[in-house]
Amino acid sequence: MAWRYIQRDLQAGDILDPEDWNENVREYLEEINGAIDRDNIPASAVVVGSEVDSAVFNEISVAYLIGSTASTNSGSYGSYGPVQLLDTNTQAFQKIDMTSNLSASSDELLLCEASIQFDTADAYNIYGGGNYEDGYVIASKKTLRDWLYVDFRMTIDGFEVAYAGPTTVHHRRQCIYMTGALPVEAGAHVVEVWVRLYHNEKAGDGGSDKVTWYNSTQDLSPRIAAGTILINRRKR
Amino acid sequence: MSKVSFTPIQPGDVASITAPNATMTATASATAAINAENVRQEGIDERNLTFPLVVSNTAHSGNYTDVLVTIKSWTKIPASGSWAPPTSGAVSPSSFSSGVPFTVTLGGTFSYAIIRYSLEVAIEGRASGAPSETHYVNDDVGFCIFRDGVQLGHTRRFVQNQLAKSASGFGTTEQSRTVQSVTIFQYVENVGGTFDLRYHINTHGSSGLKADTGGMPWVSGTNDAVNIRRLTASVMHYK
Repeated sequence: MAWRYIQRDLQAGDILDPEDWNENVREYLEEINGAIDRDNIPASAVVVGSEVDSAVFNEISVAYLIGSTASTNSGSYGSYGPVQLLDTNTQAFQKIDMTSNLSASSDELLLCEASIQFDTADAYNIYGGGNYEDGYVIASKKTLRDWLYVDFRMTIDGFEVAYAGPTTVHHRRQCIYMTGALPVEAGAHVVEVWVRLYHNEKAGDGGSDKVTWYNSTQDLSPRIAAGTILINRRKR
Repeated sequence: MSKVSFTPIQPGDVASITAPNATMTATASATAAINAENVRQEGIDERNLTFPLVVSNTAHSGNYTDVLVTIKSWTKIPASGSWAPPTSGAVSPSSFSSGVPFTVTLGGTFSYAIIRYSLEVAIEGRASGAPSETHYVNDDVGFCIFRDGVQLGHTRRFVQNQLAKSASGFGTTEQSRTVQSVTIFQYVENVGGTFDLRYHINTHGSSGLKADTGGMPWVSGTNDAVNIRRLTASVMHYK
């Protein structure tokens, strides 16, 4: 509340109308009852140590890629842990294996970030045959197949809050970053990240080219090589 | 505290002025603890408090660029002094030392922090020579956050050059170029330290980087194969 001032300056000997007195008292009451704000609390009025716990303001939740369909790509410069091989037989969104389940005790704003590494194949294996040549690369034309796409989405309780892509598969390794936010009520919530492999197949290459995502071997399968979800749960 | 009320004086109440306090009720409650009933929800902000809720520190490279040359070893991102300006429209970088380090101390005012690095990576070369060239593997570059010199492996993220024209028979002078962005982050809770950003170049069997000076004339030398620009780095401390 802003500062209030008396309305009537009463002097000794004045003959008072009762309302003169009432007006001044009302100012006093409104100052007491009104909403306190920065006018009433000077700088440094609250000292460190007397404030509430940090969890009143913020909390952090983190989820990492579990990689339930793990391959063995965990070399010194490769993935940190197990990777998640993706299903190449569907063009639907597949859930990336790093779900974050939250239990909010109050209303919160969920500020979510996801950092993902997507590889079209094991980056550290070499291929002596024509796998890439017949798949993602058309060696005879010195070009790439440009109808294979990958895209990503992040959801909070099923609501899409971020989308990344689509991108082609011209790079064997690439990073994806998404950020999104949603206010939620107290209760259980879930943050999930999804990936979709799809193709807009054309009758290219003389109409005979029907190549799609490769999964002939594990080394050539598209995969999520690393992933992190970081959720900053703002409460105030 | 509960709301304070009073009984207004009415005309003819002259006698009541002999006991003015009797016109007030609930005055005792005015000295009670203030609660939500008395504070407007948006009435207080952090400027009234002696503790900050958020403090940030940032560093950036502007649109300067820097060439990464060390291969097969995790190496700190070069300090701002070695970054080169663009040919025009230069936006100077802020001053930062190698690794763009941030030191985080928690436990007093702040309870946790989030460190973020974001940058653009260009690979303007290609692996050359067996076995890479014949097996369609090109240079890749990884980035990772280190804490007190220890690699935080779960922050490792890699980009790799495009596949096209890296196949056998394409000719070693054909260009193979990629530009990608990388964003990595690390949250810090309870245990602080000094955090920095490092890179790692893998040539996959090639003895060195092969900048494609034939296909990309703006690349002036072999060591220009991998370069970075538009780095932004930040640490956010939270109450």
